[in-house]
Amino acid sequence: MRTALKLVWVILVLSVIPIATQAQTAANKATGVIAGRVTVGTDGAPGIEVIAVKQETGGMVIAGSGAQTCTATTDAEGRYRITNLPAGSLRVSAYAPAHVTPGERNSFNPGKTVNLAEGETAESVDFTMTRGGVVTGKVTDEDGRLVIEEQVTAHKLDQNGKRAANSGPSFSQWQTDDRGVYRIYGLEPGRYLISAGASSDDGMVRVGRAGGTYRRTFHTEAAEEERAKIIEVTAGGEAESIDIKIARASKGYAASGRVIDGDTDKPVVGVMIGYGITKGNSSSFGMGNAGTNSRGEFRLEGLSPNTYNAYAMMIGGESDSYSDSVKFDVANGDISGLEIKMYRGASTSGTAIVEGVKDPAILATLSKVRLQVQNSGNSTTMMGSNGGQITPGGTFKLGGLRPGKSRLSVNTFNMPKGVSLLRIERDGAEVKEFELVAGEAITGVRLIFAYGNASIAGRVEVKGGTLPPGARMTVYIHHEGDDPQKGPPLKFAEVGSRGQFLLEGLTAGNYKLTVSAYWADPDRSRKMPRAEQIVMVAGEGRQEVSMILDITPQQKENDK
Amino acid sequence: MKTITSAICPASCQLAEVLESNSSGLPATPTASWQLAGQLCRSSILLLALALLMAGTALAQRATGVINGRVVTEDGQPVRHASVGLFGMGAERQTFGGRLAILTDEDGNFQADGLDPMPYRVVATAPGYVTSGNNKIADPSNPRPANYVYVGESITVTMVRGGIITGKITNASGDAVIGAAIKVERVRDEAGRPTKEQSQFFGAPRQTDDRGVYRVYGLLPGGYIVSIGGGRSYSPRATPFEGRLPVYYPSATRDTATEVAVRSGEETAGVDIRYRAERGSAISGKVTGAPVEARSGMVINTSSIVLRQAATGTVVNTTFISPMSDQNGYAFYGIPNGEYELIASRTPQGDEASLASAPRRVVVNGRDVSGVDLAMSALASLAGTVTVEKASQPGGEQKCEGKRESYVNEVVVTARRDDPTEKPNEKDDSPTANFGESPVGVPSEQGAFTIRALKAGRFRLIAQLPDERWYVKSIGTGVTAGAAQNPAASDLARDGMSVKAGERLSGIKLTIANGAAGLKGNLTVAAGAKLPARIRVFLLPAEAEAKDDLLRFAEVNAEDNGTFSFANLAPGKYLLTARAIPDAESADKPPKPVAWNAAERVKLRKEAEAVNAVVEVKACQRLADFTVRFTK
Repeated sequence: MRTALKLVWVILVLSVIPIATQAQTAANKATGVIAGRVTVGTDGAPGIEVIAVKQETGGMVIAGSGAQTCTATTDAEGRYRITNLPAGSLRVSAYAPAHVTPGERNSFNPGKTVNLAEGETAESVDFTMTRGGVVTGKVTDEDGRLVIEEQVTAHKLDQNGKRAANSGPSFSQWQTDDRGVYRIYGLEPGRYLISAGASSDDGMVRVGRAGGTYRRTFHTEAAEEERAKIIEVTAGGEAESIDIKIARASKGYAASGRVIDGDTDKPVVGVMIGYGITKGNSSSFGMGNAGTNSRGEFRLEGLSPNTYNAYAMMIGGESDSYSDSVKFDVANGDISGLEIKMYRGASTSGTAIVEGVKDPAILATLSKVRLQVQNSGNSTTMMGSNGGQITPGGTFKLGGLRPGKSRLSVNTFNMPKGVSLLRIERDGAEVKEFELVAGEAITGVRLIFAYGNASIAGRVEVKGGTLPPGARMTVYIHHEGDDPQKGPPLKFAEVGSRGQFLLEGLTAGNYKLTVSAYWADPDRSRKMPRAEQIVMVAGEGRQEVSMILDITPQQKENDK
Repeated sequence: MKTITSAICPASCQLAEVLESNSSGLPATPTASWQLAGQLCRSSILLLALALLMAGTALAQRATGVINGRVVTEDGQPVRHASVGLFGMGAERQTFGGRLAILTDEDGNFQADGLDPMPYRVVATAPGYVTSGNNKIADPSNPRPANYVYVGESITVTMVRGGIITGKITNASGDAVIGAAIKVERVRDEAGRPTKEQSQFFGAPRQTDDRGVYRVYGLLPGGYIVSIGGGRSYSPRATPFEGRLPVYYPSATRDTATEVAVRSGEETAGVDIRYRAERGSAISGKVTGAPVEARSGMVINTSSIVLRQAATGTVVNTTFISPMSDQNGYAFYGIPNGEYELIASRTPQGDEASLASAPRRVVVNGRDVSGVDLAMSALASLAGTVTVEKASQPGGEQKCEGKRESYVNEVVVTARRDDPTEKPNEKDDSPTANFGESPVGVPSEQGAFTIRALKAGRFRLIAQLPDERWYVKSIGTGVTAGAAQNPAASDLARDGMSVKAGERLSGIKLTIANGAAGLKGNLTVAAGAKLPARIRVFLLPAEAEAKDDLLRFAEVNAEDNGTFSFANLAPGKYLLTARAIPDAESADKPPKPVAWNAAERVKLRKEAEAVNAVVEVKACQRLADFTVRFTK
């Protein structure tokens, strides 16, 4: 594995969840200030709104849907000053969707993190932008009909004329309107290919879509990328009439079959079918049908030619089964007779405690903990009932687990404040991994949590250069001795633009801190810098730490 | 990057979970996942179907069937590649079925086979089109259950080109406002009558482009108000529109907004808004009284909070408790001055009761309002069994001819609130019903049903029957034979049933008999006169001793040409009368049946006796061409 960390985390789609921030109390005086300048090229940009949003653990996206924001508008010189800010971790961004911030990697949560102490003023939180370009045109099919609500994609080409992977700022997706017209704005200047329609390498399965499926076609009417016409996008420029003529939509094909119990051959009723396109080590996900019928039958519709894998999953309710996946090819016709088998899985159950804590208010927060089981032998990740929670009575049960070596862990993203998983015990001894056997119930497992209010306040010093624009740093914390590759961190936090970070809710112990920086690296040639440090945390209070991150360029090691 | 998403609409109170792993070991952006979820959620009513979903259970193997049909435009042209969703309503949240999306072929046809018998709601979508009001299907912009489709039926869905609103948004200095989400609300139907319901726009919100230009299409004809801002931006990133007061076309508050007329297939241009970026107030508090969330497998049911206008019941905004929050706090931002009501509620898990808070009234007057805590408690439920009497009863009923076999688990039982203490303007039948829908229960194969999420008060049951040969014979609590003819103490049809807060009332017996009759006819007027625009036709039992047998009363709206049609009638002698529907009555929510009020029953009987249109229908009889002179 060439990557240092390989983790599977369950996170919530936070981009759409409003985090209801608590009403401000008198104790939390909002007297902080963030100030800086927004420039376009070298000129100050007037009239731009700069937004500060309080962010949760580790710089998670909290924007959107009515989260509380504080804003200020830039003056004639592009200067802004946001006042009355609460202390804490704030995400600051300049709202200018038609402009481009070089290096910005995360269009869902752009900007900079500023960790602000109470009453503190952070100056020089500056934003440099360039004017974006516009591409607009019309999509019609070969019969001359308007193609409505079809995705249009701008693929940025790199120096070698290759289009970048379908992620990050080099990939922008838009839709045609009811006139077949699309308008993509805020594009980084450069050379682009413009396409309409779907392709299996989008990493998402779109099935049963009203309007049918259009095969990806590039401007002007090229199905193959080689014949696509390159579009020059300039800063502030508009490329008009970039029309695309696309082949007639296909309704796609159907795949049908049934879900049966692998042991009894009886139909399994009311389970959903999850399926994805299998390509290399990536798989995408779709969900078809609305539950198997009383005969265990399912039918997936609107599939484009591809290789798929499908499996059964229980969406709600407790399941004691796990599903095999079935692989199938859709070429030029419907597929029938698929058989997905479900087997009785293992289960693990037990109790959860918070060491040394009797306060019912703290114990009650355990019901927010999301438990997850990761099967180490399972390369294809399938959704299923491999998660669970702790009941108000402090018990848990995870059923329908796939046999094999598995790890039980907690989802770091929604851990209650101050609570962390200390260790897992079985028969009084600590266990890291379970050997699960089909049908076997492992009972008497104890999840031992810790509650603490110690914190680590740190500062990261970057040496060996300056971070490129848009770079971000994140700091993770594990128990000393835990392998960061084999489990999610206890906590994590985004390092602010001035190098500071704060990890809260820790108990006494020895921890391994890992700081890493990352940024857009189109050809992925660089190894992203990382630094580690062992930190001892006493029972309470604040532990000051300083870390050094060497960003001297290093080539990636060859695959090992 | 590896991305796996469960396809539960994140915009609902049921949340999607995403599994992501990426090579850098860092949290990946949820971009693709969200887009995928968005795509899936675009099939709109999916979330409603998923709300019904629980564990799969072992059912006895039984006959499955087909629903097929055609999607056409008003002039009969096929709509190709329209997406048809069939959402099955299984009993007791134990099962659900159907198809999320079937695409019509080049001729507009679709067919779904392998469907278990249960009531289905059908939704059709096609880019740029809307389903017109006259379909026997659910309207995607209106999730209120209207009609159900059953296995063995064939349906035609008519779609019309949606209307378009387009314009430009500028700020105080005349610059384009970029990336602002536009909200359109339908406030008037095509005939110009006010719509009470919230029209929900399930598609991706339309945003202004780099020139400040927006274009909202696929709109049902009618009158709209258009706004930007107002505490919800729909954008995944932070925008400066959050927490700002909504500004309505042309540059107004909601009350002073100018209505925009939308016609099918036509573009209404120049709907420009001058945006004032004024901050609104915040309302915040905590949800207390019960666990705010329940998890089951991959489904998280968390509590949602609805903010609505106190006077009109119009939903201003909804939010929900984030599973990330360990404070159970909520907040609304960008709220204009006014009087509001807040309600917190949670969908139950399994057999659990529904939870909701009492509406809490809040006045916003230029300042943030905090500490608006909402205490949730269990809601009441009604449970019982539906029995279909065997066709060969000693009563001499005969088995009528029918096209298809019907099942007891295709019945939909609705509880409609009819409380004597109700205020005239009281809004919802259920605290969890934000769209004015009444709570329903679907019987199991054994006929057992439960209707949840009821607030305290008196309710009446309405059974929607899948079979024209069926009629509701009695609703009672004990042995019900003959109850319809001889109303006993347990005539729940006449008396309704009252539940206390949180009460679980059970033992209701709803008996369906075979041999229902039907009656079709038309209304005429004297030469030179004209029928009123909207007429409601009433049937009531002719026999004086049946004057309080509510199951013998029926009312339907006449078609524009004066024809009317009654189905599922108990055999017997009826009086028929008709009344003009007042203009003020909204087409969205019909008033309570006249028969529910004893005084109104007397009044109606007087009217009907004056008209003296008597008709007798025998078991299984389908009487047609019954002509009645409309006199008033």
